[in-house]
Amino acid sequence: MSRSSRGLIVAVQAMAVALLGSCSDSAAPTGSPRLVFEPAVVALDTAGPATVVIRNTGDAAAGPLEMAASQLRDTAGTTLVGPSVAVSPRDIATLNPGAERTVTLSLTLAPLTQPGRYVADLAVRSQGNTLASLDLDIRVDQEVTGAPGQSVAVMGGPSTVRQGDVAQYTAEVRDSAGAEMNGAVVHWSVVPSTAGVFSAGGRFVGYDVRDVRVVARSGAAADTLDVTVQPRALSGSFTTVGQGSVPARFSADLWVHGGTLYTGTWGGRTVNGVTQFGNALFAWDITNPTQPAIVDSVIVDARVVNDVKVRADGRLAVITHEASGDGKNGVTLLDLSDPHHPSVITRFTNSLETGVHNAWIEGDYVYLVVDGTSATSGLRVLDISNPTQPTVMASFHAGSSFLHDVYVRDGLALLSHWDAGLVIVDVGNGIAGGSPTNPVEVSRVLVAGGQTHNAWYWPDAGYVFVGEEDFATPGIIHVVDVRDLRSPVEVATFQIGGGTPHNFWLDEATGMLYLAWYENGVRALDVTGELMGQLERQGREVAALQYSGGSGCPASVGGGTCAWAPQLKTGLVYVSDMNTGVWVLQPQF
Amino acid sequence: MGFVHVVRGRRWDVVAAALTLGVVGCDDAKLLGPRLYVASGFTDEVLQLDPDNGAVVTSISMDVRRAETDEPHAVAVDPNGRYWYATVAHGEPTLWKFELRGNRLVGRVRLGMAGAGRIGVTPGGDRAFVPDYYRSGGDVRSEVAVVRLADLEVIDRVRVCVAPHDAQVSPLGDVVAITCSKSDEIVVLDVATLEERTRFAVGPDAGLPGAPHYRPLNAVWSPSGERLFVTLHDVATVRAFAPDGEVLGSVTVGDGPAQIAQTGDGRRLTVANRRDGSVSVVLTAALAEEARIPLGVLHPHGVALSGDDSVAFVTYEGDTRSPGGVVAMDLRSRAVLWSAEAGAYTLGVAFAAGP
Repeated sequence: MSRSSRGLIVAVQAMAVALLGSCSDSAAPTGSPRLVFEPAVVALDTAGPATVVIRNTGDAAAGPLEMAASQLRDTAGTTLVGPSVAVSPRDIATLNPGAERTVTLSLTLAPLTQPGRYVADLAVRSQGNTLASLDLDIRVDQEVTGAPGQSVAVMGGPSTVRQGDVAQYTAEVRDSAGAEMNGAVVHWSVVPSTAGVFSAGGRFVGYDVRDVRVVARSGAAADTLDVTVQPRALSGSFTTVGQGSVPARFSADLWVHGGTLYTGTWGGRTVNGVTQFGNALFAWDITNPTQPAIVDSVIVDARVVNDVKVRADGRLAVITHEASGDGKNGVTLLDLSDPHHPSVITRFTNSLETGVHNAWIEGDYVYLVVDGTSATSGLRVLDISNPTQPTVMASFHAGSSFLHDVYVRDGLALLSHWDAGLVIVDVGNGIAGGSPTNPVEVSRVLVAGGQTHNAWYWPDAGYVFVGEEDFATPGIIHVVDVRDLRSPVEVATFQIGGGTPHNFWLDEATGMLYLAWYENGVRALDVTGELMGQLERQGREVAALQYSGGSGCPASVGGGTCAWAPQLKTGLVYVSDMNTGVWVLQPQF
Repeated sequence: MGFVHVVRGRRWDVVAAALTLGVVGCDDAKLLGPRLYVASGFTDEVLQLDPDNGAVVTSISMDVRRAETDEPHAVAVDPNGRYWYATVAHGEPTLWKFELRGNRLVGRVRLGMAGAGRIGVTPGGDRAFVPDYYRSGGDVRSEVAVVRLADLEVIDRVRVCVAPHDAQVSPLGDVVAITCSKSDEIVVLDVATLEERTRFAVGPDAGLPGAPHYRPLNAVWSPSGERLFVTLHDVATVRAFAPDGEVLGSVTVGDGPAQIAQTGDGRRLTVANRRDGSVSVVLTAALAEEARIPLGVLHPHGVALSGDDSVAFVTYEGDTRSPGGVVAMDLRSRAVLWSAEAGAYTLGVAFAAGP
């Protein structure tokens, strides 16, 4: 049943505040912008969007302006994962003194959003400063189509649940004659309201370890069930096993195969007055993981070798070029017949001149991320059946924003397409008739916050873990339910106090997600079972290690932890660290 | 060399402060005087330099995506002396607008294209033309964005040719010439109607779209608007055209001519020769190379002249083993006045007399 057919009526009330200033020295202009929202109250329902005007009443232009709505929170402050307020336009290039723009707000409800009162805010930011904000008072009402029930009784559901596990509760509603009212709407809540979260349909996940009361309401009738939320009781740690240094360059992505680890390099690093750019691939001998040692390198024409991927058979690798000196960029294919000593097969640049940021190898195809925002940019599929003469077989672009990363699994390419969201493309799965030479979009989901950076698809569980690389607000891991590949929906999030996540690796055998989180090091997150709500409140983080201190990420000299990517191999977690090189960690859970 | 101007990563430490203030060190009196703006394509910043000595006065961050290369590509100064503009070429290409006084960012517009090259501003400062210099599109034609500068509205995008790089508005402001780097063409658009007035090949051996023979990169109009000088990057030549495409002459310059600038009196051209690390000075009347001066740097790219045409400021890209920078050369004596490392993959350059 669609949201509208369920008769949901949504009301949003909004209140505005504003402000800010800028550089006030003698070189700066004397004026300053002042932004205000008008009117102060806006009503909105799902039948159509509402509008608000933002006006610059100051005496200087403001811009660029970015409009962003927060996640919805219930009146107790608990964040809802799934429903969101869409804002259009999301950015305004500039707003001159006296000028105004109309901003449209519309509410998107997740399938299991419960009726109720919620709050959110709309912020207008420029260069990291909030210039104005709008408080949103959101009411989601359930249209009453029949007489409310005279009685309700909680009929099913556990009285003891483990923190973070999703429990199903059911209730029975009867009318004044005692007849069961099939289809009657039951509103579920928990007391105290911050101790967990319900979705419509009686699905509950407990956050706080304590005794709570589950409440089922239908009209004026209610029933309760006392429930104990028990601790998830997971614990663990990382122990440093080994470390290998790359002091002269910043390190980038890594890949481990057999007894060899490969790392890319990134940016420009100045040490003792000498600047070295990311023009190298390093091969490491890790047969003794306590002493990873660089045994060879490949120097290419690039300032960033962002990514390295090794084919499953271990015989071939691809590395990416950005900001090359000759302007041709592209990729270099490497022969790994001697894994410790890769040799160049060829450099391929055709149609890749603007730069390749990430790559994935699947058999005879290499999937490449080519910079750009047009139909001729984005995903390139390269046939490498003859690796000395690669051929571009296909391209795909999602129509807006730019492609940042690609992950291929089960004939599906999971495209992290920045502000266009996560885009699922059939490249041989069959669900949409696609193939490597004819990629066909299956579906897409715009996760809250955009900036979709990377993804890991876990077919057995039906989830995709999506990284949002946001250095400002800060970044979040989004969990997208793809059990119906044609209708992906965000169901859970994970965030920590600050910083932004980068790459991750999932141990699917144990359900442990290893996250590189820049200056916040490496985290291990239990993602077993059904995932719902805010994972950081569910006792799911098992271990975290800031293995090299915490100051400067990245920093040429004296920097601390700066984790780029983890990879699990033979029970050890290998981590590429921008500042220091490679760390080998032993997880103990 | 200043650490902050080369090392992307370390720069993160000051980005927050830079964004808060709009600039770094905004109380420096140098901010008010004549200045050079240079685009550091790899460190995602525009540097304001002191034109007297090349010292970095301030750094203006254009680092939209902190962990990626955004590539500030071109800079241009508003003819009215109030603003300056810059393009970002990667990620989601954008045109940025700054106040000349204080370098305060006042706007940024997404161009809706895959790339962004140089910025052609009309003489009145009301419009800008920004070509989509997208080089990975094979033989597919790209667009030129037309931006109304008062409110940064993209009012049109005109599909022109493969990988257009430069857009130069004529002195009268009636036409804009687009250099088509990968189709060996010049496209001339009517500024008012945006209709194509003419399109011509830059030589008899023009390559197929996507496979150029000449690679026209940049252009400059003579003061009268009667001649258009175009650098042909792959054949070490500057060629002069009439507005209708008639070839008026050619001159051999150093290998890999990139940007080109002209003195206000129209008598000389200065050409940055990317491949051989030199600058050519060309007499326009005779269309003859007057001098070729080795700069001793890697990959000269951009060129701008001081307000009195006495000094040429030439950016150089460096390479994957060395940073970029700027060389100032006295156009009369041909002496190098100063040379300063500044940024990395240093591209566009513009001179401003100050607000």
